Amino acid sequence: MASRVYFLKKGQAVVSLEVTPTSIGIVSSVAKLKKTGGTIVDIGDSGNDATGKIPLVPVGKSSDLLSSVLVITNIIDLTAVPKNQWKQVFDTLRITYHLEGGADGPQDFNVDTDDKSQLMEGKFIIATKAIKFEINAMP
Amino acid sequence: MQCLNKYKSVLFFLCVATTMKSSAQNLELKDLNVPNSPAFTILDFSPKVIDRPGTAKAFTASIVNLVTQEGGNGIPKNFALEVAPYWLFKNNLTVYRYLGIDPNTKKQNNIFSNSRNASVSVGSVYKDSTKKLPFSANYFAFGARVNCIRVVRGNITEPIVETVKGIAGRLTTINKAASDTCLKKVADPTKPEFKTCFEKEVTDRIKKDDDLAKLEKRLENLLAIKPAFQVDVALAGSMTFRDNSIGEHHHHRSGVWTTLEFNLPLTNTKDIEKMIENKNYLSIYGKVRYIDEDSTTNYQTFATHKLLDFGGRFEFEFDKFSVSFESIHRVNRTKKELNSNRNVGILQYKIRDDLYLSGTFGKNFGTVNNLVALLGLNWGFGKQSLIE
Repeated sequence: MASRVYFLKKGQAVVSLEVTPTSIGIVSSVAKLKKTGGTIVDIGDSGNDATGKIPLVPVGKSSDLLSSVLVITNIIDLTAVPKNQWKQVFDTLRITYHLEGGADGPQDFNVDTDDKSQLMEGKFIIATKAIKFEINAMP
Repeated sequence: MQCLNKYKSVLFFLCVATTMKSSAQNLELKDLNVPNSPAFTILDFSPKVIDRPGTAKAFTASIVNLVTQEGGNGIPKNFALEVAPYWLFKNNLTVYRYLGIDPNTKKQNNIFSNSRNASVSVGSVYKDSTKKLPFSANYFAFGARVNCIRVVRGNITEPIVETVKGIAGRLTTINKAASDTCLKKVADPTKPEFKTCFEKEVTDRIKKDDDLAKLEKRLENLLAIKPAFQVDVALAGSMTFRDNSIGEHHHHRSGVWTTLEFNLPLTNTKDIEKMIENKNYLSIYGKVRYIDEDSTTNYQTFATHKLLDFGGRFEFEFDKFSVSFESIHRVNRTKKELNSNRNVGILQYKIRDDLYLSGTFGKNFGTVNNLVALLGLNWGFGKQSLIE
């Protein structure tokens, strides 16, 4: 899966995340942060919201996030979708990962082709996205 | 295997033979059902392979393939293409908008939501000259079908929303556990190994999750409950191209169909659990079809037939078995003396989704040779049984 980088501001600026999937399947989203020491922190999840949306949630302060990796995972269940549409739903799956509070301000990342795959003959789709936090070395 | 294939072929021709027409008056076209693929129905054929491109790119590739088939001369021969245009492009639908249900009020908020599945079909059948029709021609057709209105039973929308939420909740539990496991197992989550781990963990957990399986089954059963009311419309038109020449064309046949359907479950409709278990329905259909055909035996002179069929069907369905009575009045707008009726009883048993055993008995259109007595197997043709 392709990883992405979100540049942090120096100091105590708070970085926030919002996840917005677009799919006619039943979607679940979970966001976790893996810190440099290996600690795993829960950031947020979509609960029983079948749209899979994680509303804007704080990830942490810039000073605490350096070299951490934000990992968002999605599972989509296509029980409510006719089988002949499963491939189409997979091909047209869109997930927007919105981050703000960083050096470049609000930034959207999108699910890439190699981030997602079909499971169990296409009835389920999974997607994983890893976003690294770094300080921009360029002035 | 050869014997089975031969047997299938015999059954195939038995079924097809009952639907072939010899004149517009004896027009069969699978009684009045709104056809799944109007273009193929107006041509009176069930293609073995239907190209169904699911993306705009695939659709473009299919069209390019067709256009270049004849080297750019003439109409492509013997092809079948069907596409649902709405789904070729990106959309902003969520599961609730797709189902036409508001998750807050838990009521249906869009009776037109199924119209997104409207489909367009295009096809052609090339027929070489025969004694009966001494000219070769390519019959080209296009059609469209839409489920315009679908009104679900009021008391199933809330259980649907609750079940969908339940499934989402189970997925989140699985998601959290799988993500935790893989973040611990895989040192660097940016590497492909993390995704591979997540795929395996999710698959293993879903297979063991009985609660998820029960909720999915419940959702399937809720969505399978027949709507209280729905309306389908289809239209199709076809042209004949003699010797597959674009200049030598003539109108062949065109038609429009509409069906109104009312369904009443034969159970206590206030008890949702009984509704879910119920497989028995009383259905009433109102149907109208208009067909306009120019028939010919020599491609020099054409006889025009304009037929208006209207009628209804009364059907009892008991799980896999159904019994119905259909009455259709045909108005021949070209020759009023040919007005007639068709009154048939139909028995059908569903062996499986693509295999039906059916018998049709009664009086067909016309005044001679109008006894209908058919018994046969409908085997996976166009995914449509004699009764829909």
